[in-house]
Amino acid sequence: MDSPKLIGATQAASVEIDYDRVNVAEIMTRIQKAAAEAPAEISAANERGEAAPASASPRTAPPAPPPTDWNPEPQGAKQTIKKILRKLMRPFFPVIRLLALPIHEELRATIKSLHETNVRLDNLYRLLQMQAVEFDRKIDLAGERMDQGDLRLDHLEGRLKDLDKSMEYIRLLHNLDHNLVLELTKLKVEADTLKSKVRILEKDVELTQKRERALEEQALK
Amino acid sequence: MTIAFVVQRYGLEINGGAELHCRWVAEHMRTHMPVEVLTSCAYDYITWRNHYPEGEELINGIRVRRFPVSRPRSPEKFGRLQNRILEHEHREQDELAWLEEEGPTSPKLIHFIRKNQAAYDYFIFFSYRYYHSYWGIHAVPAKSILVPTAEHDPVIHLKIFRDLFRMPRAFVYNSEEERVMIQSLSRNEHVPGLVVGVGTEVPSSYAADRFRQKHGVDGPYLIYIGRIDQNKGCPHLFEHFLRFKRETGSAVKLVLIGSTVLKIPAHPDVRYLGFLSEEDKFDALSGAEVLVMPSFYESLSMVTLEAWALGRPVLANAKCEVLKGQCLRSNGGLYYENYAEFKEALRLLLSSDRLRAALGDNGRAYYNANYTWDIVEHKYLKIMNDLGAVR
Repeated sequence: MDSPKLIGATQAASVEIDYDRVNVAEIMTRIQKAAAEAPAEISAANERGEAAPASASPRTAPPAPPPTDWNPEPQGAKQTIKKILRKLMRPFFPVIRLLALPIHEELRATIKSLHETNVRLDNLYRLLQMQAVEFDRKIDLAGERMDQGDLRLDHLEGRLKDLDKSMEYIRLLHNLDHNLVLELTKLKVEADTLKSKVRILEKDVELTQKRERALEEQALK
Repeated sequence: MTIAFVVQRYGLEINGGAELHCRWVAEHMRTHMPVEVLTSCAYDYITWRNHYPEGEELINGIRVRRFPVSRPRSPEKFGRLQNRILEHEHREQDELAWLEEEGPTSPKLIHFIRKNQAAYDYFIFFSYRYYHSYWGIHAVPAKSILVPTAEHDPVIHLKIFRDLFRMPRAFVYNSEEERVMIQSLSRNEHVPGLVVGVGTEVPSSYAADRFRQKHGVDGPYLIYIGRIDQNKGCPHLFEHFLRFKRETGSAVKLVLIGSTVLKIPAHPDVRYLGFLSEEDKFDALSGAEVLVMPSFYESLSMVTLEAWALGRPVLANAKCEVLKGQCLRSNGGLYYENYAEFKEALRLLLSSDRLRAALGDNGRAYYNANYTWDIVEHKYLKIMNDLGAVR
C-alpha cells in the first residue's frame, strides 16, 4: 500500500495482488467480499461522520457566556451626582410634566393608532388564513377532479382500445365480404357457363334425334 | 470499391458518440478506397433542425453529401409516442410513427441511396435507431453494413428493430456484449459480424503538469470525461465521491470535463472545467490517478479506450455490461455496482501505485492489441473482402 494520504484515515481492504499478473476478476471477488463485510464499519463511520459536523453546526445554540456580577444600580460618584441633580430639579418637575403633556397626549394617540392598526392586521391575517384554507380546499377539489379526469382518460383509452379491436374485426368482416362476393361471382360465371353447355348439349341431342329420324325414314324406304 | 458512410449528423463540430466514431472510421478508410459520407443537414440532435446547407462539401478530404430534414422533431410529440410504444400495447405502425418522429426524417437521403445504389459497393450505416438506418437498410439490404452502436436501451426491444437486425449483409459490433445482446434479441446469427470498435487519436505528446498549471489543479485527482448527464450516471458519481471523501477523509479530487446539463455539487474538491480542447483533455487524462466511468449505457466508451491508450486505470459502473466486460477482458480496470464496492475499489486503487500502474499497463496492452487504427482498418477491410463484391 503505497499512498495512504490518498485514502485518508481508513485503510483499504487487505487484498493480496500478484502485480505481475493482475487478474481483475479475482480482485473484484475480494473487493465484493470486503464490501459485503463492510456495512458495520460503514455505519460506524457514518455515525462518526455525522456526529463530528453536528457539534460544530451553526444551527446548535452557542455556549452560554460565563456568569458576571452584573448590578443594575451603578455605584460611585456618578450615582451621587445623579441624586444631587434629581434633588435640585424636583421643584421644576410639575413644569416639566406640563411641558411634556402634549407629547404624552401625542404618544397616547400614536399608541392607540398602533393598537387599531394591529387589530386591523389581525383581522386581515384571519381573513388570509380563511382564504388559504379555502384555497387548499379548492386545490384538493381540483386534485379530485384531476383524478376523476385521469379515470375518465383511462376509461376513454380502454374504449379506444375496444374501438381499435372493433375496427380490426370490421376490417376482417370487410375482407370476408369481399371474398364472398368474389367467390359468388365466380360461381355465377361458372353456372352461366354450365347452362350454356347444357343448351349446346340439348341442341346436339335434338340434332341427333333429327338425324336418327331421317336415317330411319331412309332405311324404311 | 467505393463505400458510403451513412450517419445522422456529420461535421467537425460534432465531438462525440456515433458521429465522431463514423468520422474517424471514414477518414481512416479513405486511405484504402474512395469514401463518401451521406448525412442530414442537422446539427442539433434534439430537434434535427436543418443547420448545414444542403448539397456537397469536402471535410478533411471526404465528399460529404447533405440532405435536408423534411420536418424537425417535436420533443413533446416524440416523448408521447415513446411513452406509448414503451408502456402500452401497440402495433407496428405505432413503432414506425415513433421512428418517423425520432428522425432525422430525410426522405431525400433515402431516395438518393435507392437511386444511386449502383454507384457504391457498400453502405455503412451508423446507429440502428434512427430513420436513416432503418429505411436506408430497407432500401439497399444487400449492400448494407450496420454499425449498430446499441446500448441496453428499451427501444432496442421494438419489433421493427428485431426485424431490421436480420436484414443487413454484415454487422460491425463495438463490443462482444453488444453482439450477444443483438443476437439474443433478433436471433440473427446467420448475419456475419465482427467486433471491431474504434481506434482513437492519441496525441504524440501530452503533459499532466501543463494541465495542472493551466487549470490550477493540484494534488491527486480522479477524472470524468464526457457529457455530465443523468443517463451517464453522474448523480451517482457525485453522491459516491462525496460520501467517499466524508467517510475516508481522502485528499483526492474529482475533475469533470465536458458539457453539463446537471447542477455540479458545490464542493472545493469537485472541479468542473467545462468543455476542453483535445490537447487539454489528454493532458488532464494523463495526470489522473483513475478515470471514472459511471455510465449505465455505453456501446463502447471511447474515453475508456483513450485512458487505456495513455496507461491509466479505469473504475467503471458494473451495471453497464460493456464496461464491465471490457475491464475483465483487458484486466485494465475495476468496477462497482454500489457504494460499498465503489468505496472498496477506489480505496484499493488509490492506496496502491503498483496496482494502478499494472492496470494501466494491461489497459494499454489491450488497446494496442485491439484498438489501434491499423487493426480497426484491417477488420473493416476484412469484412468487405469476405462479403465480396455485389455490384
